Amino acid sequence: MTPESENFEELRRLLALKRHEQPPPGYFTDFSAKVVARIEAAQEAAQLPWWRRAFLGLDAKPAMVCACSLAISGLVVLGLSVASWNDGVAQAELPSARGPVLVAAEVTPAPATAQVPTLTIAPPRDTAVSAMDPLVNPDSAPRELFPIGGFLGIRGVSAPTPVNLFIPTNH
Amino acid sequence: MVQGIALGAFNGAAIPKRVAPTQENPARSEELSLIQRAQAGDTSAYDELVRRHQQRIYATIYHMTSNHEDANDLAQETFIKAYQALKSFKGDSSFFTWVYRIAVNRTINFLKQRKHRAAMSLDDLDFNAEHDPDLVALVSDKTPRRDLGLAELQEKLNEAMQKLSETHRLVVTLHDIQGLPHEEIARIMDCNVGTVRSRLFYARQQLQAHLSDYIKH
Repeated sequence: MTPESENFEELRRLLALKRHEQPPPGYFTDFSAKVVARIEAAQEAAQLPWWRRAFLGLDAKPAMVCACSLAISGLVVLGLSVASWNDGVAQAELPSARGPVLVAAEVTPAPATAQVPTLTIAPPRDTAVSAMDPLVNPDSAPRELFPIGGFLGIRGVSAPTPVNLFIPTNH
Repeated sequence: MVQGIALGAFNGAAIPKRVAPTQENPARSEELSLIQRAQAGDTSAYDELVRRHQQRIYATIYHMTSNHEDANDLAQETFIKAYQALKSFKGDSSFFTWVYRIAVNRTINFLKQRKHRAAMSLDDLDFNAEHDPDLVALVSDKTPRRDLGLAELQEKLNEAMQKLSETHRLVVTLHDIQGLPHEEIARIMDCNVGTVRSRLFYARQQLQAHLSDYIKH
């Protein structure tokens, strides 16, 4: 039996029904006008600068705009909360982190008569200068430049206490 | 050699009819003039081209999707895409075949990307349906389901169509509904005529099986 010899007459009659399916009256009246309007709108949009096209694209996709706005707002809120949390942690860690330095600053005026054969923390020779000297006063240095432990993500690591290699003698 | 296509009539629906390539065809030359004007940016000429082909393009997409809204969107996108690509149209095939290819490719891509089958949104039957001799014979005392109205029959028929694969649905649409010859379908689908015939045979068998309750054997 060849394909053509198969009897599809009843099916052919049934499929004739499909030819009677028609869109709503007047549908084709302005169909071509809609197509041409969309073509001309696209041509006009193509001549606009890129930032105007971007805004036009946003107009066409309100759902995407809402989603992006929510995402950006969420990121801002998250960033602010993380920043405030970090500030709290930094405040909590501050005394212990700066303790040795403060102690050093207070201790440094060691009596010259002290017989210390080892390394000692030297007093600032000039307060006005040493206050700005990061080696003497690490608080004066921008902490971002000396993120000791920060590079490794280690918390609670304080900056090393600067020492003076001056060994006092008893002359 | 470019084969011309003119409009003919088949069961009240306009379908293309092959004409001799050597024959002078005013409609064809007029269409070529419209194409050249549209290629130069004349949108009024393109408006006329759209008017000439909008019904068949819409109908093809509608029969493929069984959804008026999808067919509306895809038909508009087809003509917009065709305008954007019009400069690449060399006239190797007729404008009709060229636009048809765009419509078919876009529709098949749309149907493949759609994960779930959308609800049908069927067009109404026109007034002539009740007087169509084929349909009168079908919905008569002799049919197995004589209580079945045309609207129900339409729904069952569309459900059966949607059960076919896209390519099988396409050959049934183009041949059995729109009345295109096998050769024209082969050009549109970019395959040989034998493939079109075998797909058509298989698709009809499938349809007949799905609609066995409504078809006399």
